[in-house]
Amino acid sequence: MYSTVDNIKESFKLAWNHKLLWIVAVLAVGGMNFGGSSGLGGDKDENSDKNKNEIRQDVRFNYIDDTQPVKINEKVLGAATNALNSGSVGTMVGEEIYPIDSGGLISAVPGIIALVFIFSLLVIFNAVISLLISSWARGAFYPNVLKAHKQENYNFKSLGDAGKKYWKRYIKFILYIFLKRFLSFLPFVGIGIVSGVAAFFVPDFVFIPLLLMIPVFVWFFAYNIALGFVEEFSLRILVSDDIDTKSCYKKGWEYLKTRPGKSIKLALAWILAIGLLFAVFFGVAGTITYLIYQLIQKQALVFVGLLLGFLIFVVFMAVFVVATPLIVTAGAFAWTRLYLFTRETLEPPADVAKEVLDSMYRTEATNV
Amino acid sequence: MSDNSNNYKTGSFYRRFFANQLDQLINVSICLILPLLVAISIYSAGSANLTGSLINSAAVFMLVMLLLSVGCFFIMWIFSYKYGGSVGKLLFGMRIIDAQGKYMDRITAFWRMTAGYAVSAGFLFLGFFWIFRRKENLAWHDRIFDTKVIKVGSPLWGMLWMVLLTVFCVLATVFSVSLFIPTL
Repeated sequence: MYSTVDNIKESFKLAWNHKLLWIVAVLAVGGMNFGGSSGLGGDKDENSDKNKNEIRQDVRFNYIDDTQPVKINEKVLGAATNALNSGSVGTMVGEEIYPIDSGGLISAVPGIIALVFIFSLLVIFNAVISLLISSWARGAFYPNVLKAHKQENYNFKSLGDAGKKYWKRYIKFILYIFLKRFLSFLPFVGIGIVSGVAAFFVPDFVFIPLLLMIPVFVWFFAYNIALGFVEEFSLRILVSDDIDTKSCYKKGWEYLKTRPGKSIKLALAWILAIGLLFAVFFGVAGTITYLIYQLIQKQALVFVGLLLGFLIFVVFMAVFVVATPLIVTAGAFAWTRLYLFTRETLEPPADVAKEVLDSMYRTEATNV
Repeated sequence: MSDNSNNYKTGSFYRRFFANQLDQLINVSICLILPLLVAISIYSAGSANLTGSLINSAAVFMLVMLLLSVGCFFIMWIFSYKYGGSVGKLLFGMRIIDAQGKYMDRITAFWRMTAGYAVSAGFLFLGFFWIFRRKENLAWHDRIFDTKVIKVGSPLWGMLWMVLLTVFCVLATVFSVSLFIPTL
């Protein structure tokens, strides 16, 4: 008989015994910032950290007469030298500091637009590669979670083969779910437009469309939670059944409608379990940090306190690095077990179905 | 690669590490130093107003850096499936081969470079240190995509290029700073 508490306990045991899945678990669920792994040369904007207190002096305010033919390099160097001589950066004429000339900013508008455009392209490129990696990781993770649950053999190579086989299905599904979530925002947009129009034409009644926000928000909240459950079922259906994305999504809803109570129970129990783990983890970390702080404050064993603090920090970071994939993998097993239990209800195994049918339609001879 | 790929030894952790560092140096030289030099020359030669010149040179820097970064990614991918490894690996005398002893196909090369490296780096780079674990010198991304890195030649060219590029990067940085500071 299925039990949510037993499911979670068993899932943690399975996750602990199948550590190979941890290596793709975090990528599958959390995604990956591509920039860190690809070795792309510095993608940081070097100029974004400029000191905002430095005031640039437009050369027009330089003491050099602009009507005289002066080479640009000399002008710039002369201005820089003058700045150095005056002892403060940005000062060009005597001790007066002039604000940035608006004409300078206006001429830089094409450059600013180009900067924003280029940065957007870089973000898009990284996002595309991250999406591909996430799809591959899901393709590698979920089929092997099912294999692990059925106690079938799998290894590094089967992770790679599964990822290459299923990544297309998963990328379509990720985009489909994203579209569904995006569309769920449309009612808010509609109410916003109606409120805007109402505020313009009938300001006294603008509160009516705003009151509609409450039920819409409740619907939005419930719908997105349900969508999360459907996603969990569909991620497994994608592997088990050879059907297209839309059919898989519909089947996910079918599974949720079959076991809505158990799905909600599992989600709540999971949040509680993780909350307790984090409370213990951060509680211990916080207590130790406080004790070390007290030691240092009282100037008792400062060096020992700092060393101990550092060691404990390292230990906790290591625990955190291990705990995250363990929790993610255990969560995947928990939903897989619920999925398989629901599947047995909807589509009982052939031998069970036969036994049930046989007991329903016995021949006359056996009824004696 | 031929059927006698089993006769070659696999590349050790240190050789592969330095090959990777050479790749990073090449990326930095092309994607950071060159755009920086271009941007600083535009800034130094620049127009009458400093603000516009600064932003325009920053835009040029970002544009060149983006194009070269994306270009470096594709070059690394093409080199991997066509010639058997990134530029760093080729200069250090190594090749990446699959289970059949041939160079990887383009799909495997792409996934190995993206998802494979992401998996190996995911656990504080434990996937790369896994090379120490067995005689075959296989990282996680090698085990997942059934590839191995073999030694086919001497690492001398790689070491030479590492020294040259390091000197180039240091000199270029000093030159850029010396160009930039007087204009402040």
